[in-house]
Amino acid sequence: MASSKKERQEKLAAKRAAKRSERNAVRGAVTGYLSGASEDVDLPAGSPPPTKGKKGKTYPTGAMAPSGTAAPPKGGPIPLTPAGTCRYEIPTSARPFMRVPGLVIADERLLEGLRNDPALEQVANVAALPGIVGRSLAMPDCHWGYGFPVGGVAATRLSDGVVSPGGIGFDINCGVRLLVSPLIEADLEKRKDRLADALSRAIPSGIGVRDGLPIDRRDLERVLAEGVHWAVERGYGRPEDLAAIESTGRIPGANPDAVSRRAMDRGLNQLGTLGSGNHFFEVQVVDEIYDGEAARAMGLELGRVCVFVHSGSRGLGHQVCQDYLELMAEAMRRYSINLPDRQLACAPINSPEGQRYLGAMNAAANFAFSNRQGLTHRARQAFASVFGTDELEIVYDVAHNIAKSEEYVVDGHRERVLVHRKGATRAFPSGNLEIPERYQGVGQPVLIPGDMGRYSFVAVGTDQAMAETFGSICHGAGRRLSRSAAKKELRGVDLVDELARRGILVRSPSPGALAEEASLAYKDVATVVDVCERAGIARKVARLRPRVVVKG
Amino acid sequence: MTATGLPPAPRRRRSSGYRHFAHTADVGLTAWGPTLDAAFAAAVRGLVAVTYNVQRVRPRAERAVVVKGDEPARLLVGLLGEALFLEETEGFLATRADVARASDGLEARLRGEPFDPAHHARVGPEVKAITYHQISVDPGPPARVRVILDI
Repeated sequence: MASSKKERQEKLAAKRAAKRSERNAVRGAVTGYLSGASEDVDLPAGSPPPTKGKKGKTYPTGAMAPSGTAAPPKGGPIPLTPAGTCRYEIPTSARPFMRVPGLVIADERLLEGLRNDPALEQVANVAALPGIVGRSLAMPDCHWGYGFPVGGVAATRLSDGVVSPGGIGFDINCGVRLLVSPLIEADLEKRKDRLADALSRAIPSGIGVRDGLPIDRRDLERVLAEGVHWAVERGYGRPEDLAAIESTGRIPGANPDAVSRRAMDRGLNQLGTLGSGNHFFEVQVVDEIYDGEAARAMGLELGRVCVFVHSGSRGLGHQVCQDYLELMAEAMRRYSINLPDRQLACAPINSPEGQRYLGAMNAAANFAFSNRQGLTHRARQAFASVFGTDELEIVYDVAHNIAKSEEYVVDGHRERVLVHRKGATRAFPSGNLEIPERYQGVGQPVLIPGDMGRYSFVAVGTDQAMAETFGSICHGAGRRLSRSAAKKELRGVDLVDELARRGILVRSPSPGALAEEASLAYKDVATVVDVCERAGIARKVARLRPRVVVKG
Repeated sequence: MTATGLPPAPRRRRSSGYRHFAHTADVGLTAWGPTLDAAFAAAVRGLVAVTYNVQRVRPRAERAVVVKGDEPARLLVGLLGEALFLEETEGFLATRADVARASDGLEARLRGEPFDPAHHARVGPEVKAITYHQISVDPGPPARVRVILDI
């Protein structure tokens, strides 16, 4: 702080005196943002809160002209032209700034839900990015996001395109890992309670208390540069784990020096922690097989006990995104890039800013892979304590918030592009050399988390996905209700008890907030996966249903 | 809804507080106060209240933070970012704040205490980031701010 303590005290003395009276007047028990979400300091007891009647309302996008956001949409609703099975095209004529068309993968029902969502406007906005090729894509689970829609895919030419941190999202390399155990459902049922308790102790949320794996700053730098290779060397994994992770858990081109001190500080206590929100750790059982050959290659069979981990790069990745959004906002002016939404902040891939962001993003991605490795390590310990075996083999680990340099045929010739996937999963088909050898014949496992009361899916990519969606498919169910609406609908319902009666044990340090993640808060992930299959960009392999759920 | 899209202004000019509102998968936060400094302080409390029961947090310790910049929206995001940083790295729950804006930024004393699972309750998810989406800073009086928090 610049001024001395004494000066500060003088400066703030008057404010503190005023505050004191407010403090004394705080009234009512507030148990969180979901149950009332407000405190009115110093209103006399009994008077209505100043915002009565507005509870739970969503402010429409563009209802006002706040600084830092796009103006209200101009040009009317976004036109959609049917373009084949489960495909709708947004023509470039929809908005004057579109460089390429948009393509929405959806059926009529999903499309209905999208019509009132600003996501379609965002698909059009993304089509304005310099160097974008092919189409600006929206997956069936697409919904509104910051700048880019969640469920959006955009590929920009490496030679003259841009990279946009908003096209990756705050949670860099948020992703999913699937583990398979030698156990079958009957083994699990016998000791399910014990396992649930062991896992709830072993899998920390990482919120409020320091419970990350013990690492120092030098370790962290190695995590950022070497990813899971560091973790295996440190004893948090096995050499055979590496081959089962996208890019072997170490994305090349990571630049730890591009990660701010602040981001490092946030990550230091969080390696091997789950986080909260829609992140989860679930013990699941395979309950449906759609593709026997692919399932066999992945070690999945009916009744097999698996573990599904959904987490990301924690505070470290969030801070990297925040840091570079600020930096790119300035860079845009320098490079004279004009876009319809300031949140699409970007810089040329070949600029110092673009390269620095990509170095930081890859480092954060390595942190995320290592984070899921840390969670795996902790899960193995918990399984060992209950079943006497720590055999949890990684089926696959794949990111759904990331940008990667890949090669595609664009307008008839091969081109290297940067594929931004924000809430979309890479889905390479059989024969692709990027994927582990054991999956060469069947295609890369695509892991699609559902909600804690229903099921999650495993799928594989297709050649059609390579031709149309830059080898990408959906990433999850997508929200149906806001957090507060879900909480409201489930008021008085004991969700933990209800799920337990269906054989699903839930453990969470904040059970009161679980309603936000209940099934009714989400769309049915089966609908989303089915649309991908009908569109020909994915093939279902297996469905898994949760038995033990650990939420942060 | 008023013309600005914000909920109606509080009746009494001296009142200060915050409210969360639904915003797709995330949480919106609006805060108000007789001055912008007071509204900023209420926003800090509102940020921590997403995750913790702030009423059980005693303002026993304090942390001084400085945010540089001249754009009010940037200062708000910066201040909330500081509070989030303290929450995440030290478990420090800032529920009271004295904010003093200067020409080149702001200085704030954040008061609260470290998270103690035996005493404090987690009531919701952690906040991942403070966004600029639909951000608004209205100096009033009464002052009102609005920000969307990424969950």
